[in-house]
Amino acid sequence: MLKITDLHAAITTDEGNGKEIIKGLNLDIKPGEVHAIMGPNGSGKSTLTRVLSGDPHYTVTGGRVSFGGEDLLDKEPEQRARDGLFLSYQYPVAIPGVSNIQFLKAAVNAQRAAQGLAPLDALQILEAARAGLKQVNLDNSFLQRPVNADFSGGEKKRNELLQMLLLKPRLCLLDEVDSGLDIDALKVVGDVVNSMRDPHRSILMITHYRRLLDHIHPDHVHIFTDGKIVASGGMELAEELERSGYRGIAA
Amino acid sequence: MGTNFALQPLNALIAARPSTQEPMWLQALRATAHAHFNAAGLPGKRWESWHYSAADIWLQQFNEQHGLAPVALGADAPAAFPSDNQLHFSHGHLSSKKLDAPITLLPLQHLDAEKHAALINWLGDYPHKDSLASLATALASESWVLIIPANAQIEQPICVSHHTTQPGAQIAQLIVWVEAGAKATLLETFSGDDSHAALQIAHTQVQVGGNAKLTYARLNRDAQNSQHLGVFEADLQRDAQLRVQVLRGGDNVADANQKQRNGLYIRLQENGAEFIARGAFAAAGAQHIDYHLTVEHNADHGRCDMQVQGIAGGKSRGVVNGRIYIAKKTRDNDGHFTSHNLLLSNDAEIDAKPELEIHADEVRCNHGATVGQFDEDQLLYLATRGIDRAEAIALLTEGFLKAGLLETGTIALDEFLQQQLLASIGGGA
Repeated sequence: MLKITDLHAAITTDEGNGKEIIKGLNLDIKPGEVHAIMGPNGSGKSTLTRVLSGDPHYTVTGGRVSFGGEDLLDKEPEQRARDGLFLSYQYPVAIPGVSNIQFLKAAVNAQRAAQGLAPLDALQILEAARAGLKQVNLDNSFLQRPVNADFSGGEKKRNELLQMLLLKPRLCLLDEVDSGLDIDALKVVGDVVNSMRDPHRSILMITHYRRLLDHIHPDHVHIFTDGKIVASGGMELAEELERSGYRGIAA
Repeated sequence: MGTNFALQPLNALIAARPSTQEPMWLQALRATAHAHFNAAGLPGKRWESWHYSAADIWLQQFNEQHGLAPVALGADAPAAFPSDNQLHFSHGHLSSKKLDAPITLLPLQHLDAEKHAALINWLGDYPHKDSLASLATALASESWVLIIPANAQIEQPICVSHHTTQPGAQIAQLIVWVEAGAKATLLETFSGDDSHAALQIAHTQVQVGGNAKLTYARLNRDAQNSQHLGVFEADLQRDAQLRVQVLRGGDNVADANQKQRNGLYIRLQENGAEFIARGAFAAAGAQHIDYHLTVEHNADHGRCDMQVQGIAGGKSRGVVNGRIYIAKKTRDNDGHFTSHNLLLSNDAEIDAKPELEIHADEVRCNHGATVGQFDEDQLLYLATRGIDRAEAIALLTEGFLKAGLLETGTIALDEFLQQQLLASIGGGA
């Protein structure tokens, strides 16, 4: 599904490439797998997901990424999304004036058009959105509110998951979808992610905390420090991390 | 600058205006207005409140090219918005009328000196700040008075359309008298055939009585080659509420060139009055769109809240300015005036300058303006959902403009106004 080989990426600046953040990363995610990346603050975990989404704030300075057998890095962000890549933002962007339902309709239909499918009409979108809202535990009035404007932190995260449910991506990148959530909200997030598990869909989640992993049970856990993966394993790695910390594992 | 040029042809028109059949009070009103107009002159860039729109030059050029003589009655515009209450004006002349009781429409000269004494006194005492209002009063061949009687609750919007079908100048004057406790919605639309050059001076003067509520929408969809000089004046009495929507609507062609200036002059004359204004425009081509909003808080516990959203592309120019004025010795006034603007091209220009002038201590006021471009983070977020740049820009543009729309209380009217607004950016139906 996703194969990353010796990836290097740096912050884009006006004078060329700035500080290198991703420093030779390798990762292979097969269809149906759930991977979790854990790492300390500032290690570059979030940058990895932004780079994969095509964020122009970062420039790839080396390496290759293939997604579904095609070169990912040549494609514009919207093309990556249409190919089935979805990034759940750590800090979703507010868009005052654009209602959530209008946004969902535009997103769903842009992707349907790319797949050669007829657009959904307002009623069909509404129906799909309501089913999704129920799953993420938000009420229907949410659809009329402007995208991420005046949403609480938890509402923003659940709104990201709502989009994921409607867009049905092949690859879900979840960037700290659990940060700032209470126990109940965490369970909702865990349930939604588990409901998305599918032999044809892969999930890559970035997290600080083990508690979301207890809900989701990823197939692979990676420890990420200073721009690359330093250890890979299963759930036992997350448990070890809790005992000995990042330094203990990296050593 | 001295006296400006177009005063002479305008004075000639005023002199030629037959007025001897009019009652004495009206002759006096027109004479006073004429004197004020002559003393003040035509507004132009030398006036602070007209800094960006040269009405004097617009009139001069129009006079040179087409003359300023009034034009005869033409054909009606099709009803802009379906309602039982419709008034159609063609070149400033009333051409058709359909009003449900108890709304009354009278020619100004038919006001009764006793029965309408309060109204006549108000007109006589009104200190026009904009000399175009004085010009309209001195020169309008027809002035109409719309009266919403005390406590009348008018459900159907009153739709007033001003339409031009031939080249020429026109003056429209509408006086709206909303009596105590009444409630109404008024839509005033300006339109014309694209085939000709038209210049329109449109004066609307409103009194909102005690505890009365008026919602007013002023929709400019003037034709190509046209110039619109609008003055909207309103006085609010105790606990009155006035909600105003100003917007530019209708399709924009690539070489759109309309010039439009609308000045709103609002006075909160008694305690507890409230004024809300929303405005939206998307200027394109060589259009010039100028909204000037001035609110005077002359009593206690007043509130005003104004927000105008503007977009300028091509070589167009947008202007949003004006002032909240809080008079001496008033208490507990709230004033808010913001304007957000988007510049879509290097050749476009937006001047946004809301101001405050505060002469009292106990106030809560703020004002602010932004001029910027599309937010790249918003565009990227939309892109990561598969939405391409063109569609993302369309979505953001629409969202941006909609923030300048008022909820009028009539859903069908909201939808109509939104559709008119979005048509100007190539969206809508």
